[in-house]
Order: sequence, then C-alpha cells, then structure tokens
Amino acid sequence: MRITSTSQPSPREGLTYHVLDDEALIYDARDGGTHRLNCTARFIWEHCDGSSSCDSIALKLTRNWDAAPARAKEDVLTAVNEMVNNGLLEVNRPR
Amino acid sequence: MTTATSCQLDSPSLRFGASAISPMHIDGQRVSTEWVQLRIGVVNARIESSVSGLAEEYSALYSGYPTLHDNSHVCVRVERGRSRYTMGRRFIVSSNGERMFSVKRIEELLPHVEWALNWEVVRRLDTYLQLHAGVMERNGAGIVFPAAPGSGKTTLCAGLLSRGWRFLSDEFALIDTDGMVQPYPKALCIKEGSFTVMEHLGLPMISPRRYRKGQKGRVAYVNPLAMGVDAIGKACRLRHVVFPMFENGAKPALSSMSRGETGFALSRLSFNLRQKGARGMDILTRTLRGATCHRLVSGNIDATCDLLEELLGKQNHA
Repeated sequence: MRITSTSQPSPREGLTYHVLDDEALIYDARDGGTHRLNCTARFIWEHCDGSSSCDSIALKLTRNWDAAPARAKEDVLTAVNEMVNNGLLEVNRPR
Repeated sequence: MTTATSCQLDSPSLRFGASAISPMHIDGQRVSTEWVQLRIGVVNARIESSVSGLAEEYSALYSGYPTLHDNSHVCVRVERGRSRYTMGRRFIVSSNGERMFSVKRIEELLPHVEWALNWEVVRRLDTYLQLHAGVMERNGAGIVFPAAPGSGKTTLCAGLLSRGWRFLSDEFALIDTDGMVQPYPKALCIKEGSFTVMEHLGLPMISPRRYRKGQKGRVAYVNPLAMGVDAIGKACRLRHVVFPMFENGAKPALSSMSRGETGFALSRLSFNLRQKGARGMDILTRTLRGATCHRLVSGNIDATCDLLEELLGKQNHA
C-alpha cells in the first residue's frame, strides 16, 4: 500500500512495545522478531493512533523537534512506510 | 529502524556410584551404570554412564561442587552403541531419553556430555530468559558479556576470575523475572589457542587429559573452584552489559552503547526469547534499565581486565 500524507497508521495487533531511554523495542509475537526504533521513529510510532494522519504527525514532529516541515514530512512518510512493510503498522483509509 | 528475526556450596565432594539406577542392556548384555549428581548453580544435573570412569572423570572436573540429593532438572546418559549409518561402534549421548550425539572417540565424550547438558538447560529451564553470554560478579554487581562463539567470552571470564571476580557462567546468562542473573557455573571450556593464556593467568586446567569439541578442536577445562571456595558468585543484579570482541594485538577499548541498541543485540543472542515471547522481552528491557552498556574490543588479557576494572571503579564512584 502506498503511504500518503493523509494515511492514518495504527499499530498492528500482537506487538509489544518497550521503551528504553529515548529509543524503543517492538517485539512481534507472530514471528519472534524484534525491531528497534530510534528516537525519531519512536516519536512517530507513539503518534500512530489510527486517527492521526501522516501530515498531522509531521506537524507534531516539527513543533516538538524544531524540525523543518519538509524534512519532518519526509521522515514520517519514510518511517511509516518502513514500519508498514515490517508489519508493525497498518493503515486506515481516511474517512 | 532496525529489525531482527531472530551456590551456595554445601559439600566438598560429589557423589557417584555404580549400578544405582536401572541396568542398561548393550548388545544384549547387562552393563553396570555409574552416575553422578551435582548442583551447578541453579541447574540440578545427573550424568549416567555405562562407560567406565566417565562419571568419576566428571566428578573430578566438578570437584568441590555441591552434592545433589533431590530430583535433577536434566539427565544426560552415556552408553556404548552403534552409529545409525555405518553401524560402527560409538558412544551415544542422550538426554532425558532422547538420543542427541553419537561420538566416535573417547576424548570427544565429555565435551559432548557438557553440550547435551546445555541443550537440556535451554529446553527445560524456561523460567529464565537465557542469553548466550558469560557472567561475572564483583561487589554484588553482575557484568554480562554477551557474544557469539569465538568472541573471547571464556578467556575474558578466566582473566577476571584470576583477579578475584566471581564466576557465574561462561556461556549462559539466566535472568529471572526479577531481573536477577542466576549462576550456571559450568567448568570453563578453554580452546587450545588459549592454553598459554590460562597458564599465564595461573588457572589450572584439568590435566593431563585434553578433549576435542567439534569445530573448537582441542579443548581443556578449568574448574572455577580451583581459584578458591568463593570463586563462584551468587545471584546478582545485572549492572553492566559489555559486548566483547577479541582482536589479536588490539589495544583494549570500551565504547558506550544505547540501551535500545543493546536490547536489540541481546534479542539476537537469546536462546529462548521466541519461546518466552513478550514476557521475555519485558524481562530483558526491565533488566536493561538498571545497566550500563558498552562494546569492548579486547586484546591482551591483562590490559583488557585492567580496563574493565577501571570501568567498574568509575561506576562505583559515580
């Protein structure tokens, strides 16, 4: 699935999330895999609630991290795309 | 984003005996069985053998370990048999009734008994999160050395043991649900390339026998209690995680790792994280929150041990 700025990602079921300082580990019980999120990916993951769009997450990233809007949007789309491909997020179509 | 799939000592002597269990029958003949039961940290082990002298050899290897009187967690059995493929004579090593190894030469036998014991620990002691790591303790603080084979865990443990650190394991970190590392102080298995290092450290290898262990080639064993009756540590809190990597001739160096990177690396060095699932991950991450994390390039054993003692000294004064 193509991730766009209006995509609303949410965590898939069967994952456990463990915070370690400013990073996080996600354990996937389906395949026993472990995924490591750096601080940016952790921030993005924590805002993937199924109702926030990638655009709105990028806006929060811009405000919180004092990041350039274009860079924040690119980071969110890249990270969400990677997390979807790794089975950590699923994307709801906007209503 | 990164992704991976992945003693208390209470007796100076061991107990071993003959024909204490049901008799074995080999090639239609009844043979006597020797056995030894001992407590290796949290592991209660029983070795049964119809090969004369093996139980006695095993008890000599673990001289000073406590006698076990209650039920064992794991039972490794050795008997004479035949190869399934060539019908040649073999020593058969089985554990809890399951055939595990078929060994041709007597010098391969004891290492395979140890190997079978480790497999049984992986399979049966599932209350612990199991990591492939050496574990030492000093002043109540546990330091774990997770690494793949060939990274220098055992030599590092031996070096620290010779300096009065307490030994918990050179291969298994068994972490309970409270985040305590439990001892599984098997005899240290030393590869031939490290024999001279052991002599330098003053660690007596069980002699004169040398053994053979698969790809490791010639090996010898060191009983940690040879360094003193309190050379084996008790359960302790994990305070430091250090990933060692031996580089011949390198100047020893430590570099910090984040706990996230450490947790991710440890998840790949666990024997049973997949079986324990989310509970195992919870143990791992809770345990890491109280630990410092480093990567170690190890070289000369004395300089490497100096560096680790400096690290612990700094932490104690922090």
